[in-house]
Amino acid sequence: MAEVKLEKISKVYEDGFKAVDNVNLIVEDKEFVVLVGPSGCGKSTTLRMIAGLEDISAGKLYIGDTLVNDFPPQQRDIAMVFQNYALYPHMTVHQNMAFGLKLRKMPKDEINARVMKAARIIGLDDLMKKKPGTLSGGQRQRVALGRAIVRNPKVFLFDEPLSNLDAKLRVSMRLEIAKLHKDLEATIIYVTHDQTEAMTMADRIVVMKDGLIQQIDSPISMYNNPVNKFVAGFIGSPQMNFLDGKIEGSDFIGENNVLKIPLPSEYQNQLVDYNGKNIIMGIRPKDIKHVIEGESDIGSFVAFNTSFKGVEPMGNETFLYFSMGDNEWVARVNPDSVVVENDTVYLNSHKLHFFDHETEISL
Amino acid sequence: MKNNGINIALKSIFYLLLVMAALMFIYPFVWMLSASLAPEHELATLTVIPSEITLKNYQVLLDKIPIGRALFNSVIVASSVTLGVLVFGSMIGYALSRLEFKGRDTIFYIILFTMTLPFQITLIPNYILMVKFGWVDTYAALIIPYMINAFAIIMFRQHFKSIPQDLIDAAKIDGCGELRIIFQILWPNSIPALVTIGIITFMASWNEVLWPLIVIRDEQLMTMPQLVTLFAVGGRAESQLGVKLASAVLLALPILVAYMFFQKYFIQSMASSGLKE
Repeated sequence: MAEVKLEKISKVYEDGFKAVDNVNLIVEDKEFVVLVGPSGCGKSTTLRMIAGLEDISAGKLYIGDTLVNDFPPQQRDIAMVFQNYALYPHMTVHQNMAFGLKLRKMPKDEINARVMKAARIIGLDDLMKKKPGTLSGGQRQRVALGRAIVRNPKVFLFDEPLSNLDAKLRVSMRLEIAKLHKDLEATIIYVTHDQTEAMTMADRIVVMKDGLIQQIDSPISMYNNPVNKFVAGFIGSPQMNFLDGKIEGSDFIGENNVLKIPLPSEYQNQLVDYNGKNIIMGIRPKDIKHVIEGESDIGSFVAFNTSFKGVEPMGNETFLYFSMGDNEWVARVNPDSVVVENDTVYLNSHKLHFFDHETEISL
Repeated sequence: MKNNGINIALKSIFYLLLVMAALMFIYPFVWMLSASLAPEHELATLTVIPSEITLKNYQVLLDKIPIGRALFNSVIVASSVTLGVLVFGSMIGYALSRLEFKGRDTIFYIILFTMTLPFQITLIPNYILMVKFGWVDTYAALIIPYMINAFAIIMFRQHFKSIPQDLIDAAKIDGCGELRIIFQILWPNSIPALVTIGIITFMASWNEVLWPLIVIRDEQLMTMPQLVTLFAVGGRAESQLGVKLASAVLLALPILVAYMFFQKYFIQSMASSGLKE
């Protein structure tokens, strides 16, 4: 296994479009890093540059200590798992897994030993003679994993590997990949647009937007301390609620006076320069309550009357949808709550996030 | 009940017409075969069943022209041309569909444009080229100019575009170069396209008469259609219709045999070539 280092990596296409802009990232040895972002953010392009499937327009890429910018994919000692599995339809499972080793002129005995070992790890023993066309989606993705494992590469690259699987299978494959990472002590770079995958599997998450890295951090730290409004909105499900407004003295006043929150002292000091200025406030759905009896700090909740536009009971929790000014908000509340159409919700004033109105940077 | 009767009558007439049309279509072929096996004096009757079956026409034919040699030449030429078209066509088709390079689309449009030029326009320049190369009266003149063709390139380009890029990327990561990708990954997954293009190319090459007439004069190097055409219309058949028909049967036979083996693909290839042209 090895470290992967991206130094000022950029990708500019012929028509001038900058898909990846000056990316700096060090993926430590044995680390599981997830690149996440909306479509078109440059995450897949970054991964494909690491794989050697896309030329690097500027910057340096190191795998281990070797500068690999000009190396073709097969010389980079990486393995990749694709969204569409990308298995060779005309080969059996065994042949699919052995193909890369064969091209590397490995002795037959060793190929067989490696393939059988990998097959055992991911539970494919019984399917070795089948062709991909006869397998289910989950089984195919397992074969693709197996094909990566047999190579014993320095780095594993995953390009949205779970996107084509159904929800249940996705969860089990997520666990399996996490386990694989642990067992193989592999360096993994994983691309997804699904923040749940990022949160559950990553040692560190890299959030990208418009070709730029927004933040690199551990999942929990990123969730609690997003650097800007984009990251705050992207990480966490359902996403953070936002409201434009002003700081007036010791209060936050929502636009059109929809909401007034007396700010706890920690925010007052932090926002002293913003008095009288426009600002964006954010609050996570979990920090809006429907019932506050029994909460330890009842005094820090601010009541707000609203009429719910939608109620979604999920069993273990209930989502309440309502309007706040021009914004749609969601609260994630206890499933036992008895909800009536016009009701009161409570905002925890210690759990607010504030962002600069112009730069959207976290304050 | 009355309606039923009318229906049956209408259906019968309909099928009768169909059968007649089918007979009209198949009769010349059947007659060609039976007449080639009939004695010369019975040919004028246009009967399908001869009074006796004789191979005399074939014997005369074999004595007069080296038809066996021509069959061999045709097989060599059509096979080499087909192999060339499949190999080079898929290589160029792959480059045009998957490789990134400057002028790629321009090259594609130029290739597309050459399809609109009738063969007759390039006939003379091509012939001059053959003379300059010293290829007249060699297999090279029959094979090499036909080893690349625009139709196959375009068919391969379109087909390869439909194969997911991930498959090609996976092969690259496994260690395949471009050639290995084409022949070990794409070819096994393109059998219908290969067979279709192969059949169309083979038939076109097999049936080609004009070009061989121009570049080949040595009877030992002539292809079957060329030899049969020269024989039938060139006077050497001495107006013996039976012998002419025997030569026509031999000309059609290999394609008929091929048709029996590849029937499914034949129909497919005709359908797809109809769409592309």
